[in-house]
Amino acid sequence: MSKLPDSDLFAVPLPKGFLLFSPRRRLAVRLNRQALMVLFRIFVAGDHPSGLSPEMDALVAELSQPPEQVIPSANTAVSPPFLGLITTRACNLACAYCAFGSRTSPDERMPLATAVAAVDWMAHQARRLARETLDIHFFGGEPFAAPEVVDTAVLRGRIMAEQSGLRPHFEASTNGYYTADQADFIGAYFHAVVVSIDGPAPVHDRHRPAAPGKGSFDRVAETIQRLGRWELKLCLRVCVSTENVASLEEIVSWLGHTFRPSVINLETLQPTPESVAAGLRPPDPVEFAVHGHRAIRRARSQGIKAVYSAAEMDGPRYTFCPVGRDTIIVSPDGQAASCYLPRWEWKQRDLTLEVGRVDGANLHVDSRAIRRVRRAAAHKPRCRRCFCRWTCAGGCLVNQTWPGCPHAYDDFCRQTRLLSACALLDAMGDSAEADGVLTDARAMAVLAEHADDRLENFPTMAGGHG
Amino acid sequence: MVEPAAPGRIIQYECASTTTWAVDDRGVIVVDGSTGAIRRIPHPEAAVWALIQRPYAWGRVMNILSAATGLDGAAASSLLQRCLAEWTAAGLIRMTTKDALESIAHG
Repeated sequence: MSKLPDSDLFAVPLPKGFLLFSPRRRLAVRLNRQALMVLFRIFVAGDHPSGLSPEMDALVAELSQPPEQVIPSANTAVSPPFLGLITTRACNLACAYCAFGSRTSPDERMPLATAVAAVDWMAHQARRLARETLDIHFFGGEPFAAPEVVDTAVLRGRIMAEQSGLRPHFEASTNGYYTADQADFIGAYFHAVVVSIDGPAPVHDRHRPAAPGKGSFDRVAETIQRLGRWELKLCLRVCVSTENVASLEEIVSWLGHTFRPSVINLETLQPTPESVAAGLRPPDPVEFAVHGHRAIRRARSQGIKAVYSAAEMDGPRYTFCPVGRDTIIVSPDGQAASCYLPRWEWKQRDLTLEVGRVDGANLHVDSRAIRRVRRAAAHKPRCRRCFCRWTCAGGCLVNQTWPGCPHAYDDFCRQTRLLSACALLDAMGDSAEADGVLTDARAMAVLAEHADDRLENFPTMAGGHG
Repeated sequence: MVEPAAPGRIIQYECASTTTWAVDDRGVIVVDGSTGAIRRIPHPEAAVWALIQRPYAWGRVMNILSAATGLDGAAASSLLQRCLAEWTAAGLIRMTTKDALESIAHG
């Protein structure tokens, strides 16, 4: 038996025993310390113990299979999953925690010719890659604050899709603060939409005012109700802060009953100078994990999928977001980048995420720059020892795992580790053990802070003695 | 879609009350509820259909239509005029003249 050539075997400490997790073999199983020591001897020390039980034999055979190759090789052709269009960085709301600089962004709108050039490029790529769909995602600011740009890109996309034998597929992330006419346009022409709503009026308006002293809840709720009449995938995004974390289960239940979305997405507040000034803080990671996990279960009982995106267990990935997946996101000024954050944010992390530019009627993309971004997204030293390496994949490259960031876990890591372990246990049908984790302060502390989950580190691990 | 008419007045195009429509990959499907007739509007005419449902002024419609279809201003204008005339005659859309201030007040 040869040693494992990579870190794809992780031992996660639980109140009773351990969770063996091989994300790139899509395998998770609960084991005791003795069983893990056997695996350590086989896969790390290179021993050949005899007399294994049939169950251990089967597990060893499965773990001896090569893991899924998740990172594209250096010469893999550029393959953008979608085109992102930031129609404007301006926004018609004044959210207290906005991390996109919308309040300080100029009211610059993408020229219609830039949108057309980008759509034409993506249609050409989709045809070259023998895709079935032409995928275009709209971001902001608030993308529908520049409705003529959206309309142009949608109508151009539909024409180009038909000419190229593709099906058009449009998605948008939006604040939902606009007229019924705008909502109906989205309903008629879009396939999926993410609307931000942080709870009932008091908490939503505290987080997401239209202007100082003026709430946005009523109009946003009307928009969501209206979108719900159309045939599109409706996702509601909830930003969680200290203001709403304790009532997360009730909020998710209420959202589910009121709007019947396809998905509810829970994300924690990313601190900004604006959020600090407004007195808004991210939730405590343990409190978020406890309430978040209960909220996810509550939604499941209503037949609705709720997720914390860093703890999604749909399969292994090497990057959390569009960055590193060859995505092209075009800004109002014609810059093409892998990230939708403003350039100054990634520049201050010494990251170069620019991969091209719209020049007149053409979008020029530098495939070498795309491969460089792939490498940056796949190489995250903080994540090397963490069992969430291939599922959370390090979160945001700019804000969580930028090159040179501290290797110690931060609160994002802690809540992600707790929620990921509980998601795995739930998926294995072991909800009782997940409950055991989330009601045991010591177990949560051990799991959240465990510095090295790799099997090769197993003999030095504490925990899992129960 | 609206366009200026006599001073203080605007012309507004909108779906007839008996018309229903749906978007599909190849254009727009329009149903005339008064006759039950089903009609497919292909691209690029489907872009015109989309834009007349919007509360845009004539100039804005022309800019979007020209950009989306790749037609120059004259060709885009011709396409728009032809569609409006044809669909009005077919009873799928109707043209009304309104007081400009009233139109603004109603968004």
